[in-house]
Amino acid sequence: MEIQKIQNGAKLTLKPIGRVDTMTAPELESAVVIDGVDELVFDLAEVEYVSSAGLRVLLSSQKRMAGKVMKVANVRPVVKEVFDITGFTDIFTFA
Amino acid sequence: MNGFSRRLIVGCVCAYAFSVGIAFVSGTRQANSKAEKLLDNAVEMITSTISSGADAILKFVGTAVVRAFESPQDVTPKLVELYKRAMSVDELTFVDGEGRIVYSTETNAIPGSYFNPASKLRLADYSLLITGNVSTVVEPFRGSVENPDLRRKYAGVAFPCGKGFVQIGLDEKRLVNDFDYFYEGVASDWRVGECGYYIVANPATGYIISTLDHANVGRSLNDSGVAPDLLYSNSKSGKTKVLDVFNMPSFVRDEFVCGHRVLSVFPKKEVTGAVHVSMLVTSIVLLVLFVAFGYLVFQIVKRNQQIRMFFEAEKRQVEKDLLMAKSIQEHVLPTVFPPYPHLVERIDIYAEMHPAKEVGGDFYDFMFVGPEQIAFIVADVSGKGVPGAMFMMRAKATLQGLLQGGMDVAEAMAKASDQLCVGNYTSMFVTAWVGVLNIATGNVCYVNAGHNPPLLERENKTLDCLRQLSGPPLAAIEGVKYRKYSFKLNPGEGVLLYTDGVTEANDVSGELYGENRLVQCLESSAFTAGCSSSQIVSDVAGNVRKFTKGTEQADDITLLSFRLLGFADKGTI
Repeated sequence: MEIQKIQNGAKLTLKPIGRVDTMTAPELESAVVIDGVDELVFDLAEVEYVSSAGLRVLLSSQKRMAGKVMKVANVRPVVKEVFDITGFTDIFTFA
Repeated sequence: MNGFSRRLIVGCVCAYAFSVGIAFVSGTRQANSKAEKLLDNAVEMITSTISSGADAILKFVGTAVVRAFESPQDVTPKLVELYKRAMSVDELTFVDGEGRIVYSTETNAIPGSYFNPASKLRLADYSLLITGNVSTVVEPFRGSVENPDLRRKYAGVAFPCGKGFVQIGLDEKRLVNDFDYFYEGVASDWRVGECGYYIVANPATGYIISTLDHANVGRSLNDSGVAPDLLYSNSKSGKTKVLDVFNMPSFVRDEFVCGHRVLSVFPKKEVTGAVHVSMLVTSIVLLVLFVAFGYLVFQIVKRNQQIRMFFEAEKRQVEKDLLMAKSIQEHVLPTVFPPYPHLVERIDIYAEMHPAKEVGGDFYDFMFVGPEQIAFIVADVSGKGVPGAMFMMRAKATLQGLLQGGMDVAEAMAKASDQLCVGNYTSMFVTAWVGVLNIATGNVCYVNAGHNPPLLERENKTLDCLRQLSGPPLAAIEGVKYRKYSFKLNPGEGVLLYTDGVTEANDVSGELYGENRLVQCLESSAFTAGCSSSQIVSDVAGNVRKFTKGTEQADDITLLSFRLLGFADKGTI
């Protein structure tokens, strides 16, 4: 899976492309940087599927970013449905 | 000795034999080519020695004649013939300072005519004698003009003060027959290589004129074992023959030099002896190398085998552990159906869990949590394999403990979530649907923590989807309050609980099984007369298996069906 990283000062945007599932989630998890980052954004514009392993990465990132800002952006409707069904919509901040 | 060692030894022996063979062939070839070169040099040396001997004889005769006659004009036929016999030469021609023949022993050289050797080049050489630029001219042996078989050698020696010169001719045969004494010592000191030698013989008589071993001088070539009719070769490599010479196998060159038969003899043992010594050394070195190589390969393979055996043992141990873990996990799930035999007229329960790996993160459970209340749980941990299974065991025990303590389902879920958040460093979470059925009233209170919506089979043969969501999955975040929902179940109605392993199972083309296929399958299964929970579960599981045929199961698949058959009286439970 390809992950685009855009660092803008203390803001880090991670833009994975494709599916975030059991196979690719560890890659996304290792791309997450917390030190020196005040705002972490997952841009899911190019993501067509998120499995529970992917949700776990978002959740663990949110926990690691405690006290700072973490956002999930540009979620496609089909992926938004996953967030809705699993009740994660209330946990994450969407942009 | 096992098969590999045997193959290794055979392989090494074959490779060794092959290498030695190659070394032997190339060594022999090299030695032979060395022998050829040595013989080339030997032939060249003896040829030049014998030729210069012939030159010396002619110069000697010529000088003697010039001293005897002061000028070509002084010759008389009688004296010339006398000298010719005395000096044992075949031709004497006297030429004056003008280049005219004064007298010749050859009748076709007419006195008064100009001296005219066959070629202009030679004439130029001879004219240098008249001008006084040189004192002698020597020609190589050549066939005479009249008789090409008669090979004759010519030399010219000048008279002093440009008075002319005398040309002397000497036949090859005469050189060999009359001047053999001259060649007696020619081969007595020369060696070919270390122990090779020359044989110089008279080709007409076959007698040896000169050779290294003086005892053999004067003997016939026949005695040496060389056939007298051996064809003369015209020098150069490739003409070498292998013959027994004086009972010793030797490389032999047989040349015709200035009328002499010259054999250059090089004993074979000198060549093969060197080859044998170098072969012995080479084969010992190769033997050591191959033994070392074979031993090394043997050690490497042995070590690899040990490593492989170690890993196989480890793998077997891991497999054994996983099988035990699987067994433990299977036995924490209720697997005896019907679970409540005294209630078979009232409630029909059946469930299955198919992990993708040996152990899984899915689980189901059901238990009495009050006098008439049965709790049903289906849950999915965000992880498979051993990590998922460990978290699943923890989640199941936590939920069971809280629910059996009589806690309200929404409270129990909130508490379970908080408890599971403690020490959850890997951020695992559990989607769970928990419903509590009152079998006396048919009332179901449920909480859905981010789980797939269960399907409700109504008596009027319609399907409802329980889409209400109570909150996020358990262990996702602390301090969650779950909303509680309820519905009423009438006799003949049932609920199918499942995990996303069902709806997200994919076929070979990657297409998902999806809710629609599940609904269709359930409709045809549930609304067929007399269908049971076990039938529904096995129908859906079979349908998914058929759909995913040819692919590897990606996620755990769990199905739980419960159907109310009739309201239970309080006293019967």
